Amino acid sequence: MRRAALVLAVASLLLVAAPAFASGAAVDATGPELVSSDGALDGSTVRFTGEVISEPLAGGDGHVWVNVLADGTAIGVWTPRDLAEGVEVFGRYSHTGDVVRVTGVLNETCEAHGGDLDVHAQHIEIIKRGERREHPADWWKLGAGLAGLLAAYAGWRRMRRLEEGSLSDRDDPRLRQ
Amino acid sequence: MELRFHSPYRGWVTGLLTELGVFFGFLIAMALLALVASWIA
Amino acid sequence: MWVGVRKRELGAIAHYTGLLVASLALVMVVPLVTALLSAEWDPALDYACGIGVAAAFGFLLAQGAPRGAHINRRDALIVTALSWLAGSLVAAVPLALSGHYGSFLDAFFDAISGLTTSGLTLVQDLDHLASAHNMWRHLLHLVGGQGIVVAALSVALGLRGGGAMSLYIAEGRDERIMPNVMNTARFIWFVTAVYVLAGTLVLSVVNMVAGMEIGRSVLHGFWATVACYDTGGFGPTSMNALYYHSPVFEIVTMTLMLAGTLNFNLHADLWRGDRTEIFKNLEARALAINIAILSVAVGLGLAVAGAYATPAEVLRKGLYHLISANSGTGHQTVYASQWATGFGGLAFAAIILAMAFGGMASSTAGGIKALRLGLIVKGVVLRIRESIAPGSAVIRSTYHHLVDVPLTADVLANALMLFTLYTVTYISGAMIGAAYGYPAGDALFESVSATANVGLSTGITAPGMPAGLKIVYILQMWAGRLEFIALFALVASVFAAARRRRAGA
Repeated sequence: MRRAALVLAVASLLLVAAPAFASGAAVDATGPELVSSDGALDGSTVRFTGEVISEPLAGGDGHVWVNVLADGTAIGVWTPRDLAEGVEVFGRYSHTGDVVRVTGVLNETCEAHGGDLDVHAQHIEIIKRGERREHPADWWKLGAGLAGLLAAYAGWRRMRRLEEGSLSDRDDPRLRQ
Repeated sequence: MELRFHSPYRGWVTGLLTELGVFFGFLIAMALLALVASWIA
Repeated sequence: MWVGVRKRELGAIAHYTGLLVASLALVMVVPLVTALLSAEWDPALDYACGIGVAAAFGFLLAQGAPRGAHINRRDALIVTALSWLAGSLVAAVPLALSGHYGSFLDAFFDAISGLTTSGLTLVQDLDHLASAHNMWRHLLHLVGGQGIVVAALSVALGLRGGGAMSLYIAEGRDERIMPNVMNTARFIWFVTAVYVLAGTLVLSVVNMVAGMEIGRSVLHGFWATVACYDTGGFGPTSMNALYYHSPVFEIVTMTLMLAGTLNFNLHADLWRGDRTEIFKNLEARALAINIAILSVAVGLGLAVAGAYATPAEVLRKGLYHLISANSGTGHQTVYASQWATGFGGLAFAAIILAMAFGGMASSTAGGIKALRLGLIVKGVVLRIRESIAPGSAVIRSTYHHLVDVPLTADVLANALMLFTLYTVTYISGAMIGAAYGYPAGDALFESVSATANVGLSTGITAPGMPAGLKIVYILQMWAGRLEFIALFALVASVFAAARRRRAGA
């Protein structure tokens, strides 16, 4: 009975503690903090949230690159291909990308990747699925453009008329080339 | 001097390849210089 | 009687400026088509509006004089100086309408940065910018890099008249490659077309292999090619060249940067089959020696600073940024904050010097230019030889630039004057930046980057920077691209006109 209680206690302790172990070492940071920590975060496990803005790009060695826009600063994330499989939508004009929470090791000057600042991902969690971006069309712009073209046409016509009218001016030496 | 009045259009393939050769050679030379310098330091 | 002549001159200036501006309306058709093909409806309207504004503004100015009106050399300088401003004003319209700029000033900043092939940018949320707007930003590099005048000549907007050569010279491209201007313009576009097609092809394949779908591969390939070959520096994403994480991409773009910094005369010579010119040419030698010395400095500096000390890092951070700086491109694979922390003093200084010196004349590169540096070094050697020679000896020196040319006091004075003008502008801009509270090193870096039309940034150039500093950088990019003289001609004419008016009143 006592042994069972002990096992239960240890098990529950582990259960409670497990998430803490998994994420306790990770430092939460914003994108700008990641690129300007000046060595403070270099080599440590960091966690940040941002929007995916690239399709998975070849990273070699069964890995891909996923660029994540975090608080206005985009970070290159080098991740095993399977971790990035859940990412479906990347951000561009037509779409807002998936919002992901990335946990991984920050390398300010990554020796494996020619000195790039990158994060080697250990875990990628999808927070929010990306969606289409709406871009309502402002039709007044077309009106302004057409008005401008009309004005330009009128100007061009006037120039042609001036040219024909000034044919008699050709004697003027200043007009000659 | 005569060369300057030849048409540059006909020889564009060889011209392009020559240039690419020069550029790659130059880049390799500069890479070696930088590497030697960093190795000495 | 001089009143009438003055008026007529003013009319001719307005006429040619107007035609150059109106030609931008034609170029805007490309982003319009891009928008329609990409189903980007609102950006398409931005360009519909932009085309109307450019055409109307252009033809309004063109009313000043009849077609083919005569234009003298000084007026051609003024037209050129004004065209870059008026062109940027019009080019900024669709950008401002995109909603990605904090103000019209910011859009204007990007337009002039694009046209002068600088690459500094104030765009916001670049990662969600429409393909049409990216197309336009990169086309500005292409149009400005080949020269607005050359671009306008190519669409032959009534510029066949006597003014064409004066306009071409005024743009800081003083050498005739072909017997006449139209042929020269055509050859410049031919070289450009070959390089842009080849670069786009190679980079499209690189992007596709990396996993981009075909449409995006080609667009990104084209943009990167144009930005590198025209030594511009814009990129379609906020990460610039770091987005691709690819050494192959970096090697291809470095090659394109070198191609972009080659004097068009050298292209012409090589394509005519003369392979020796590139090794004999003073400018090619000066540029090679310049980059070689700075490569050593960057290698030493990075090794001492320690952050980028492995061979791969020395090449991909050191050499890449050196070529990017010296060619005046400005593609960047480090974050702005890392210049100060990662590069250390020596490598940082070497990058600033590379930007300040710049590439070759008659190319799309900016800065003081290698030809002038070579001439100045030759001049120093000549002076030393003179000083140690017996008094009766006559010491002469020649240099090889396409042909053997005697080194005259005139040539040397011109090179030294431009060297001085650039240096004074670099330092003045740095002092203004420092006065706004930025660290002196960063301010110097950014000032040189703007004046030499490079585009590398330590982070000062940002939407939130003071408006006054934005205007200073705009003036620096403009002055640097025109090599000052056209700008001075404009300012002097305005002063002269004001004085005459006061005298007349």
